[in-house]
Amino acid sequence: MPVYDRGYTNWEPSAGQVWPAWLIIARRGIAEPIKRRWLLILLLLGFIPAIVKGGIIYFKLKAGDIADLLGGGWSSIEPEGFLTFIEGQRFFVFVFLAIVGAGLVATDRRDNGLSLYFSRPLGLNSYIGGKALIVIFYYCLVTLLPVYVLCVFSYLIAPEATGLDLLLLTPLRATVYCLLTGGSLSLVLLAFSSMGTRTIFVMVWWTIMVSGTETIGAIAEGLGKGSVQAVNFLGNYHNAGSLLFSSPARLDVNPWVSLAIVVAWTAAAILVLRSRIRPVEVVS
Amino acid sequence: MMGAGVGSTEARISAERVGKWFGEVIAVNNCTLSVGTGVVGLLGANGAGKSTLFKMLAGLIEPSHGTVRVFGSKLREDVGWFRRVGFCPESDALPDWMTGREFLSLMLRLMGYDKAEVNSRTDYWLDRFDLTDAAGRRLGGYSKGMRQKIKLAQALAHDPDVIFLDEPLNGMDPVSRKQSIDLVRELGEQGRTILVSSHILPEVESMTHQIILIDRGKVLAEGSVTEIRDKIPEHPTTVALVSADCRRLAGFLIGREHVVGVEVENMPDGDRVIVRTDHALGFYRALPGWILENNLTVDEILTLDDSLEAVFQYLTER
Repeated sequence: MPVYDRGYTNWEPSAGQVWPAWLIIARRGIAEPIKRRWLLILLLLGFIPAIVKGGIIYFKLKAGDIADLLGGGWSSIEPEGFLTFIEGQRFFVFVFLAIVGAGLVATDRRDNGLSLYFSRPLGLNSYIGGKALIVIFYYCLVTLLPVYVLCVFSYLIAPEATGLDLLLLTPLRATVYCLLTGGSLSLVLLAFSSMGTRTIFVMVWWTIMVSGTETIGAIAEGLGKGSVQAVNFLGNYHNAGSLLFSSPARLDVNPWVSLAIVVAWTAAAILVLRSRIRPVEVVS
Repeated sequence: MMGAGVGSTEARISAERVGKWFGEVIAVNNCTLSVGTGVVGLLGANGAGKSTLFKMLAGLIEPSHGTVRVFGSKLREDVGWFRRVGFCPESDALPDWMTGREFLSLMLRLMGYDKAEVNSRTDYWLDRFDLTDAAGRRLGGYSKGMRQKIKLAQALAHDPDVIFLDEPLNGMDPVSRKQSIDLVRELGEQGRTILVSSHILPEVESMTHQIILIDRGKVLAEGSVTEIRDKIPEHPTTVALVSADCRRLAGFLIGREHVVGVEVENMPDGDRVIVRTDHALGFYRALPGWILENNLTVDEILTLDDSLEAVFQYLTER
């Protein structure tokens, strides 16, 4: 019956498919950036390293050690090679997460989205979960998705050389790594986003976090003070990831120390989010 | 004057000694009130604590102490109750990048409706607020009045039983204002509970005579304007009686029950009797009998300070 013929009706569960609130928020947030054409172009650029790696793997599997010499770590189809690939995607991770994630909470605070969202059947965890999923989605789009494609591609061109490990264990490792890393990064980014109402403010902090700390880490390494690399924000994620991918440490820091740092960042982000996200209206 | 409750039937919104501190500043202090069905105005000057109390009642701010219940439940502890609550915020800040339709659809989706229901309700409410033509436009291009209407639409589109409207008529043109006032009254008559927060007294007066008055963080009074007016002893209600024989009428009224002062006022278009009463309702009930039994003439009765504005002024001493 059309709504205008019904008169006064209390809420009743709909007969059709109803998405949980966190998924509605996530879907909305994922769909929005895709409308921007330049972001799609950037996304395509983000797949270029995967295409290059795919080409190198092809030559390695077909031409053997000659391609190995040319490709170096890029030709590796061992788990470590895929961690190297994910590490190499850090520029796109940095850019995409800044574009997609910086305004997720900040704009809601600015536009009174929080009071509108929280006057609906929606808890804090659903809100944060939905927003985090947006960041995780885009993180996985430039890291995990290419890894999946590369694993399948490598298996298809040389099943006898690659084995089932490439179809099962490596994707599994990459999935666990990307979901945990994406989850943690999303919480840290959302925490920054919750601290202001201006997206540019969040982007500046995110740049300092990612590029600034990486630069400091690189300078420290150049000066022979490798332990200072522990400040490298994204580097700690890759370094901790070496535990999962059974590869050498990526920094001059114990991977367990990096893991502890990552956990500390995540915990701090959760504390910030819990204290900052309030359904209070911003009166402009 | 506190605690009696406003609106009719059982309390849907109740607050028990609620207070809110912001650092060392107390915004709301030990407020106890209950609201039943119908339209109720929450009144207070800017900075009176009205918005804070309003948001605490709507489950958007956690009280520092005390308890707020809607339908007997704490909203934030059982967010499912929000399906029966509508909230229209004061600020006109909205997600400007969304179209009107996208915004309203998203708000409805979050209420837990399926796609067909969302579309049906979105179409209806866009039409109801004359926004169908602008539905595909981004909210950033909406006028202040249109933004106000889309905010109202999102608060009402899921047929809530309890509706919180914070300054709902801000920026609306006269036609939209009248439509919205009529709609609010209609919803109140349907048996919904509507709490309207405003500092514009005529706006509230046009919707309801049931009010909660707050000042300096405290509930000063709750109930109907006339009831509250009667309970301000230091300011007796002033009634003007237009009569052809003012002197006889004035002489009769001196010393009558509920009459505390009588004087004859000379006006350009004729004299009138000014009566001050300490119990307006009692006076109004007794007056017809006095007129009939004593063959008095009264052509017109005017209440000079029984308005919401007068009540507000007397109670807040502004």
